[in-house]
Amino acid sequence: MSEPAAPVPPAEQETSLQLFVSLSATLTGFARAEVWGTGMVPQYFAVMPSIVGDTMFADFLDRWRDTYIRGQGDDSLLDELVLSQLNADPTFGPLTRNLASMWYLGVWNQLPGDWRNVHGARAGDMSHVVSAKAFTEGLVWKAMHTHPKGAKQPGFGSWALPPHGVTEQGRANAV
Amino acid sequence: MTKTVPAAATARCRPKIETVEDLRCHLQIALELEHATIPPYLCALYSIPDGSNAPASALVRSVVMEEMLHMVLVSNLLNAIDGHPKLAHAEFVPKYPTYLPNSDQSFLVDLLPFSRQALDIFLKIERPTPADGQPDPDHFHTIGEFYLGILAGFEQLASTPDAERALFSGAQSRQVTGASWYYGGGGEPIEVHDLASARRAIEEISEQGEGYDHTMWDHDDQFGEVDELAHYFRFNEIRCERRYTTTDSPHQRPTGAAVLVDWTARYPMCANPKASEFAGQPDIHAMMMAFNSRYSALLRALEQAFNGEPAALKAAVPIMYELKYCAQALMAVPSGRGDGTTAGPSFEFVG
Amino acid sequence: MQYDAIVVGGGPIGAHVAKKLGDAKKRVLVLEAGRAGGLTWEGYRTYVDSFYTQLVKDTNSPYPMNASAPFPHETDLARIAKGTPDLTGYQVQNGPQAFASTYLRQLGGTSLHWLGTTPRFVPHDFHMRTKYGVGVDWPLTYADLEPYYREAEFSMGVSANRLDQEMHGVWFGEGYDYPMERIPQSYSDQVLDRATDGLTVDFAGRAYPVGVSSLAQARNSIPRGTYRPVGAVGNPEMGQRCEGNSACIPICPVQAKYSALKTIAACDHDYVTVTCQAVVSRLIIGDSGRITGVEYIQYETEGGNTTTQTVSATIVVLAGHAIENAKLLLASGASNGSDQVGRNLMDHPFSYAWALAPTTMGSFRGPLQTSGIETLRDGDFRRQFAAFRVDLSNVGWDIVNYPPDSNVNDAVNAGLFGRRLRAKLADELPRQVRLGYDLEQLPESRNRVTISNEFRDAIGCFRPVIDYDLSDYTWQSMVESMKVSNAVFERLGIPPEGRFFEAPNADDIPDEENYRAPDGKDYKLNFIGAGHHVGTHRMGVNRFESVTNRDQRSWDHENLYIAGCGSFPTIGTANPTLTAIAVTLRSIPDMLRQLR
Repeated sequence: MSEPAAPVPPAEQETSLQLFVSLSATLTGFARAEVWGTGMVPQYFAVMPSIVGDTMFADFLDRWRDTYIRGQGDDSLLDELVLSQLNADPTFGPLTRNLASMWYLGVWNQLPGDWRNVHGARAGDMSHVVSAKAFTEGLVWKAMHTHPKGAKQPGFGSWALPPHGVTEQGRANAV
Repeated sequence: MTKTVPAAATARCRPKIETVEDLRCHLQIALELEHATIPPYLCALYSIPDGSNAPASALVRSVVMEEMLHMVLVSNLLNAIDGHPKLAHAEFVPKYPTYLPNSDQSFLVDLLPFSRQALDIFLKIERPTPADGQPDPDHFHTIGEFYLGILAGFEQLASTPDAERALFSGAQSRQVTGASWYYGGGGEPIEVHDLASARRAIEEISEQGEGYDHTMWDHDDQFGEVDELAHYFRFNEIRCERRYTTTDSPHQRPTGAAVLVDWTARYPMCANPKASEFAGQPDIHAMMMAFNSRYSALLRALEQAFNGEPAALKAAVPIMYELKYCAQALMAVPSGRGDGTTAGPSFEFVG
Repeated sequence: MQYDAIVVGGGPIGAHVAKKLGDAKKRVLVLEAGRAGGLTWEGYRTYVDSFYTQLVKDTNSPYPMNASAPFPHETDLARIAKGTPDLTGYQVQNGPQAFASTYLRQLGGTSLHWLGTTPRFVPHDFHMRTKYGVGVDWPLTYADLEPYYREAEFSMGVSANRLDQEMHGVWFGEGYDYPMERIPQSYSDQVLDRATDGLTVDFAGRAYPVGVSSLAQARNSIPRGTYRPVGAVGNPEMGQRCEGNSACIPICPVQAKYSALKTIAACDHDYVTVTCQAVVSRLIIGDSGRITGVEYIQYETEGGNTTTQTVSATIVVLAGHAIENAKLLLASGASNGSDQVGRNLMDHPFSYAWALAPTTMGSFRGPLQTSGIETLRDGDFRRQFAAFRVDLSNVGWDIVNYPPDSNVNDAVNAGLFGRRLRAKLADELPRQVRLGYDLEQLPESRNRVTISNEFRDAIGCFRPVIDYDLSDYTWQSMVESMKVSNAVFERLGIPPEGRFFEAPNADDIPDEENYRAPDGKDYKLNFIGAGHHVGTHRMGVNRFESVTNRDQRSWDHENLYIAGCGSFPTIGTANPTLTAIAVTLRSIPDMLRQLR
C-alpha cells in the first residue's frame, strides 16, 4: 500500500510494461513490488493483449496513462479518476474489472456480451484459470492473510495461532 | 559482481580445545558454521521456480534439511556439556560475502541464485576431508577437519569415566529428541549424553555432510534409510549434470545417468543483497525487512528450542515456510540495478 | 494364472483386503476400473496442477474425466423436476430428491478426495432398532469391532487423543491411544469452543450440551511412541505432517492425508498384482452357486478400444464402492435372494447455516475441519428424529457460495478496486463462519440403486439409476438443527438477521414441497450430499433381509464377499470409511479360512 518509490519514473515516461504494473498496483491496492513479487507480471502482460487485441490493450494503457498523469500524487483524486475514466467507461470498464479480478483470482472472466458485440468475441475470451501459477499467486489470499487453497502451505499447527490482527492479548477478548 | 573482502574474522575462541569452556566455544562456532551454509543453499533453492529443475531442487533441498538437522545435533552436543546455544543475535549471522567461521579463509561464500558459480562455492564448502586429514578446529581447510578437532576435544576432555561424567553434565531435558518436532528429511536427532553418543552425533554430521574422500556414500542404517551421497557428491551431481553410480570412485567425475539441469530456469537474484541498498525503493525495502524480521523470529524460535523448550520448534516450521514465500516474491522483483537482476533475501538479523 | 483372491476395486477397502491377504502370502489380483495416476509422485502432482487450473474446484476436479470408467461430478447435480429423471451426469437421477454425492473411480478410489475424518461409530449406532425402535440392528456390536478399529486407525494413520474421543459410550482397549497426537484445533474452533461454554439445546424435552471437540482425522501429526507417519507415495519425506494446505477435499498436495495409495504401495507386490483400466462387468456364477469367474473390460485409452477378459480365483471380494458393488451384483443377477441389493441407500444429508461473525474467526486456514460438535450424535431424541455431527468449517462459507471467488467478483462488479477492495476482502472473508450438519438417515427400501438397459456407459456397462428421498425422521432433524445454529450464532454475537439457513437455491423449491414440521410451521429445506454412500448390500443375521452375513460374505455365493460402506445396515452419524475398513479387517479371517 506504500507509495511508488523515488526511482519509479513519472507517468509520462513509463513504458507500457511499467504502465501495466502501475495500473495493476492501483487496481489491486498492492505495492508495485508486491505486484512484481507474484511473478505474474510477464504472463498477464502477455495474456491481456492476446485476449482483447493489441490495439485495444494499447488504448487501455493510454487511458490509464492520461488518468494517472492527472491523479498522480493524490490518492483520493486518482481513485475518483479511475472510477470515472476507467471503471465507468463502457469500453474500458469491463477491462478494468477483469484486470482486477485476474490479479486477485488468477481467473480471466469472459467479457460481458455487450462488450463482445461491440468489440468482437475472440477465441481466448473464455472464462478460465490463466495458469496454475496464476491461481496460486492470486492476490486475494494475501489480502485475506492466508495462503492459496492447496498451495504455499503454512505448516503444521499454523492454523491454531491467532490470525492476522489478533494479538495474544486480543485473543482473550475475541469473544 | 563486486566482492568486498571482510576483515579477517577475529578469533572468538581461544585456539585449541583444552578446557570445557574451549569446547563450548568451539561448539558455538560449529552452530554458526552449520548455519552459515544455509542462506546460500536457500538462495539457490528458492531461486528455482516451482516445477523447474526438479532433480537439482530435490538434491539441494535434501542438503538443506540435513544442515538443519546438523544444527540440532550441534545444539544437542553443546547442551550435553551444559552449554547455551546462542542464535538470536546479529553476530550469529554472517554478512555475505563471508568466510566460513574458523576456516582457513581460502574462499568467500556468496548469496547467489542457482548457478554453476553457486555450485562451485557449495563444492568448496562441502569438500571432502582427505583420508589423512588432521583435526583443526581453528583454521580448517575442510569442515571434516573442524569436526575432527571437536571430536578430539571431546575425547581429551572425557578421557576417564569420571571426566566423562563431569563433562556431560547438561540437563537431559534440553536435548531435542525423537520424531516429535523434527521431520521432513535428514533423519532423526541423536540424543547426546556421553562420549559414545557425542561421537555418533559428530560422525552423523561429517558423514552426511562433506564426507571423507574415500567414502562418498553416507551409510546410515540407523533408521533403515537408503544409502545417500554425502553433500559434496550430491552437489557434484548437479554441477556435472550426471549421477554417480555405486561403482564410481570419489576421485572421479560421476559417470551415471544424466541429470537434467536448466541453468537458465531460475530467478536472476542479485548477488549478496542488503536491505540498506534498497532504501531508495521503499516497496522492495519493506519486503526485504519483512523477510529479515521473520528470519530473526526464526532464529529466536530456534534459540528457545535449543535452550530447554524443544516444543518451540513447532513455531519454527511455519516461519520457515513464510521465509520461502517471502524470498520467492523478492526474487521476482526487478532489483533496479539495471542489470536484469532481481531482488532477493538478505538474511540480516533485526533485533 | 490362478489367483487366490480377486479384489474388485483399488480404493481403501480393496487396498486393505489386498494388503492383508498378500501379507498372508495369498495371490491377489486387484482389478481397478480407473487409472493408476497417483502411484508416482510426478503422476500425483499432475492431479494437483490440474486442481489449480480448474475453474470449479469440486470434489473430482483434480482427476481426469474417464469415459471408460465414468464417475459422478458435483457439477452434474441439479434439482429434479417431478417425474422427469435427470440424465445430465453419470448417475440417472429419478428423484424426487437429487442424490447429491460423488465418488471417484481411480486407483486409490474416493480416498483421493475424501476429507479424512475418522470418528468411530458410537455403541448405540449398532442397535438402533433395539435401543430406539427405528431402523435395524447390526449383526455386530461395538465390542466386536473395537480391536479392528484400532488396527484400522494404525493402518490409516489417525491423529487423535483418546480422551477427546471417549463420548457416547465409545471405549478403547486397555492402554490404547491413537498412533499420532490430535491435529491442533483451528483458531475458529477455539473461538467456538469458548463461545459455546455451558451451552445447551432442548431436544425432545431434554437439555443436551453443545460443545466443541477435536476430531479424529487420518492426517499426519506428531507421532506417539515408535509409530512413524507415512508420507507421500514415491516421496516419503513429503507429507510427514499436515501442513495446512486447506485443500483436503479434493486433494492433499503433500499426501499428509491418508489415501488408499499408501496401502497399495505397502502391499507385498510378490503376491499382490494391481491391474488398472480393468472394469469388472459381470460375475460368472457356477451351477453350485460359487462365483467361477470375473469378466472384465480392459481399455487402453479413455474412451478407446476395449477387450473383454475373464479371470478366476478361489474367492472374489467386491470392494468397488456401495453404488458400483450394487450395480455389479444387479448386472450379474448375483446375491439378490433377499431382494435387498441396491436398496436402503443412505447418505448423510448435509444442511448448513452461515453468518459473518463480528470479529475475525481466522477462517481459511488449516485442514478443512479440525473439530466438530459431537454432543448430539446420540440421545433419546433418536426415537423421533435423526442424530447428527456438526462440522465446523475452517474455510468460511465454502460450499455455500465458493469463496473467495464469489466475494472478489461481487466486489469488483460493484465497482470496488484498489485499497478499498483489498480492505473489504481482508475484513469480511476471515469473519465467515459456517456450521454443517451431517444428518442421520434411516434405511428405506425405496431409496435404491437399480440398472436399466436404457442407460449404459461408453463401454456398455450399466449406469447407476438412483431413486432417493428423505423421510420426516431426517427433515425434522434438519429443522431441530437450527436450534443449534441459532444458539451458537447467538453466543458469537450474531443478530438473527445476520444468520442464514436456507441453501442459496431454496427459492427454487415449490411451496408444495415445503416441509411441515411438528410445530406446524412450513420450511423450505435443502441439502447436499456428504459423499457417505452406505447400505446397498447390507449385512444381517439372515438371508431374507440382508445380502451378506456379518463377515460380509454373500448368503447366496459362498466364495463371494461384498465389502465396504454398502454393508452398513444403518448409517449412524460417523463418517463411514474408518468403520468400513474395521468391518473389512474383521472379515479377513473368514476369507483366509476359505483360502487355507
